[in-house]
Amino acid sequence: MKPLLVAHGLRKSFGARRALSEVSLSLEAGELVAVLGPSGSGKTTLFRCLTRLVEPDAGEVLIEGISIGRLKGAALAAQRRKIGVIFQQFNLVRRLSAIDNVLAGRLAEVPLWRVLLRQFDDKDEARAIQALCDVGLADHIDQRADTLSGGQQQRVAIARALAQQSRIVLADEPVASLDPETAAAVLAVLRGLTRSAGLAVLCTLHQPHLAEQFADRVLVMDNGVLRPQAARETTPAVFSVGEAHT
Amino acid sequence: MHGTIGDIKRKKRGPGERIAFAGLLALGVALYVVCLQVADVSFARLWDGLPRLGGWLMRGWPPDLSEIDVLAYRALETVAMGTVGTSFGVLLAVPICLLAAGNVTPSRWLYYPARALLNALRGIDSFIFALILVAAVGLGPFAGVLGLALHAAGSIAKLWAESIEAAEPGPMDAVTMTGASRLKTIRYALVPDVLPSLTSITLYMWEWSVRASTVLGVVGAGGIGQELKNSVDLLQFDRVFTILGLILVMVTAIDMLSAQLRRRLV
Repeated sequence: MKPLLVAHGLRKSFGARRALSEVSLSLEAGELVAVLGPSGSGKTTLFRCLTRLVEPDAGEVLIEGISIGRLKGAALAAQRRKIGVIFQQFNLVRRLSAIDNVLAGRLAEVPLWRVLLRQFDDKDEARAIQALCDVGLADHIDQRADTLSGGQQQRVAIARALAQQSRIVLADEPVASLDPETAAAVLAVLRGLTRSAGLAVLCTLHQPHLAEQFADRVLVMDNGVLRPQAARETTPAVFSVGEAHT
Repeated sequence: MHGTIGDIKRKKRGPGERIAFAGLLALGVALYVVCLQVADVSFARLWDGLPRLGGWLMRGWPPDLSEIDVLAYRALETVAMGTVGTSFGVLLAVPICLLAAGNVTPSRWLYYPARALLNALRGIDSFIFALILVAAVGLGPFAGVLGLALHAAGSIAKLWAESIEAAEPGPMDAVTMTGASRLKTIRYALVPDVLPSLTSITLYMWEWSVRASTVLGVVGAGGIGQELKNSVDLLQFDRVFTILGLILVMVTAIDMLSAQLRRRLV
């Protein structure tokens, strides 16, 4: 099968500090790949380079087979739209209902007047309702986002990515603000959708046990270098809590 | 390498900092004394004037209610000026604040001119605008409406822009990442978030405009201020009392209504 997202030899430095060195990866439909690594190891830079929010110094990114390195304006936006992004802080519009937040995933294709009046057609609404059902929130469609629990909010955010109809999902620490039980439930939803909807999910985590439990593959980011996790590699030293005071 | 806990000391204020503080305090006091001089403050003159003031108060009682219908119409005119002035101010403030809020402005080249414009509008009081506009559009409440609108536009735009700048960036980022255009993102992720505080600011400016419009009549720009000035000029203190009472009732009613409405937001 052709991979949905490919990166070749990505390099990025900020001044003298090297954030990414020769990072390559490939992501196929139906797999959830976890990236482990401490903060500052380059995970966020990698994500930003994959969508060209940050311009890599070298290397290439292909989204569904199309290189985005030279794209501009509308063409770049059209490729970016194929990637759904999930954030640590959910980033829902707090005063809008769950379904209105999911409908945000449709905005790129909805005419401006409909957005201004917040009046969507039946097809888009049906799609949003379907997405909410897919993440198990059928009972909370009209509930305001700021009254939902953290786990529910993150599931709305996943539904928003589904409504966007992107097959590639980048999830940057999606469960870092959730308690362990909720975190596992949200990752289970994400993993289920990876299988049922054929998504390709790249997900940064910092708990190795969650990565082992839910990911098909685990990559480790260490000082800008991305490598597969060695067999039976236990919690690497980089994840231990910072040195105790001396 | 640390020794025992006892070796860790908090930072102490040095003598230099204390001297600098004392110097600043002395400077502040000196400036205040200069202000007292320049402002020509004389409590002796207030004392001498008190009997005259008392005499007027006595002559003003009981209030003259014979022209209450005319005065009530003038009060209504004042409320109308404040309301229409605020609404025009809102219309002007919408484009200015979108250019003058750092997180939504399309370009730095528009941001600074927009900031300069709103500071100019805000810096000049509606009274001054009305004074000039009476000369341009003639006597009457319309000059007052325009004056209020210009000043309110600056104030509303400034407060709105601050409120927009304080909005959470996360939802805007997320909606932008779905491929939505800038205008769609503002409408969908920003407006619902900030609408309650923008409405609250607008209601507050409406109260303010009604209060401000009570004096616009002094420069011939309509409303109850005109009657007030006439009555004071003619030393009709019983009529002045009626007018002051009307102003108090009107302003209090508007304040209460606006406070009620603002409490319903959130």
